Amino acid sequence: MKIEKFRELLELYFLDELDQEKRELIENKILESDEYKREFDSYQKFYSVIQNSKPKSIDEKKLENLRKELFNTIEAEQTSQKTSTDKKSFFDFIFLSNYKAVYAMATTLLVGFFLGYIIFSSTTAPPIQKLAENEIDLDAIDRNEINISNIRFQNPFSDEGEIEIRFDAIKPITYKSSLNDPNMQRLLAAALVNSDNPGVRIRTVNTLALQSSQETLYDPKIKSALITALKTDENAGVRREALIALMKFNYDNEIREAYLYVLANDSNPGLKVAAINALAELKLQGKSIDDEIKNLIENELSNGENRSIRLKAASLIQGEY
Amino acid sequence: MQDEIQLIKQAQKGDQLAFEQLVYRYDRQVLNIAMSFRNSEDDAQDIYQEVFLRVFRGLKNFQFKSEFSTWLFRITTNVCISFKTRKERYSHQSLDEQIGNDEDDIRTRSDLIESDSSVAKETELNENQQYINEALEKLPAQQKLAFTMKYFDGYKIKEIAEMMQCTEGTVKRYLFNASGKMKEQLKHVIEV
Repeated sequence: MKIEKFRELLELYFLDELDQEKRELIENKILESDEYKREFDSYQKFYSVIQNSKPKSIDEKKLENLRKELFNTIEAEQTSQKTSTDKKSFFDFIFLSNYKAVYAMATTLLVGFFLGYIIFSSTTAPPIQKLAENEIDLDAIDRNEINISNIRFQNPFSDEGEIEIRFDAIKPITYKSSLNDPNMQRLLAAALVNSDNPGVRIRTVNTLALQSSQETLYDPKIKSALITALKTDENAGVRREALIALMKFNYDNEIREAYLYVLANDSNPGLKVAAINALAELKLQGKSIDDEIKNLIENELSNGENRSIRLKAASLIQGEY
Repeated sequence: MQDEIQLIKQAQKGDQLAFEQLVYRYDRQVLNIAMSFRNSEDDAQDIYQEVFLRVFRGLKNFQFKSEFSTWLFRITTNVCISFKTRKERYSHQSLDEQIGNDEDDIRTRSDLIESDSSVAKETELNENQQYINEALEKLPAQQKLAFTMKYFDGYKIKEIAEMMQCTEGTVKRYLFNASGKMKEQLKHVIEV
């Protein structure tokens, strides 16, 4: 046996990897040769040094910590995998399993967009153009000559693809005429009843009072508007002017009722004085004052808190009597 | 054995407790191999973690064509070898770089590191261990792994061959070459 082969077997001898026959072979060689014996001794020292230098044993506490760290890492990885798997499953479900449904939805959507384009692209401008030409001047809106407000969508998307909106268009109109013009009278009546501005209402009543004459043929709406203003207008000035304007009208039952209403209900003493003055004026004109009016005047004379009213009432009654 | 097969099947289905049982059975041996191979606790712990993470990830593909332990230790040896290769590649250039300008002070950076690290290790390793570790570090990964598994962990050559997925003859050659280099490196220790 050559020395090289002996060295190979010698290592296996120490590592307990030889069968009994080869072990005996090694042991015999050691006895036969000093050179082999030196090799044996040398390897024995080497083996001894290595065996005495084994790594230290495992620290149980560290091993336990390693396990905890490992299981935590795995748990985190599982959570992460589950999240990504859920996402993947979702997209797989959408794009692979149900691809027919997805394509059907996409196609429907595209057709919808196409139809929408066809319908709305052809009907965007005409309704406004139609209005501009036939009903209102849209340029007047731009010039602030017409104010639009209170816009409401009546039918934003009709089956025909048309849009219907409703709005108030206020266009200033200048109208010039005499008080004999029935249209002017109707306009003034409307202004008296509908205007929110008390100044406008007073001016309206003043105009009626100043411009009118007994010969003026008033529209019945004018008298009605004046009576309404006398009874209900919140502004005492308007009520007073309405009363004065009504004195221009032929005295009738409606006007009588209005005066009675003021005497009985108006909280403003000045109005009651004006009403008494109006009645005195009627008396001067030879018109009689009925008992109902007399009773009201006497009531004011007896119970009225306002001295002016009492004086007016007294003078009227004294004149009557 | 039947019990182990059952555990593996449960773990393959995602049973965390079954997987933990498998870890408890074998992790001491895995850590021993890693400790023997590296003789550094930090490195050994890194190897331990990587081995079992690979096992966890690959368990679903395990088809019982070999023993679970064999499969596990193959992974362990692969991780050990790749770990050493990675470390060597990472530090190859800088370790060979010469530092110091004096002709009397021609040392490489690796010499410096080794001498520095040896100071730290003196507290827990005896002088022989230090030399042995230095000598082991100079061995190729396969030779080192075969050597440590045989000399330190006591595995049979046949087992090592299975773990390293090579023949027994190859393992013997690894051992013979490794011990020859180690004896040469440790001559001054052995001859004292």
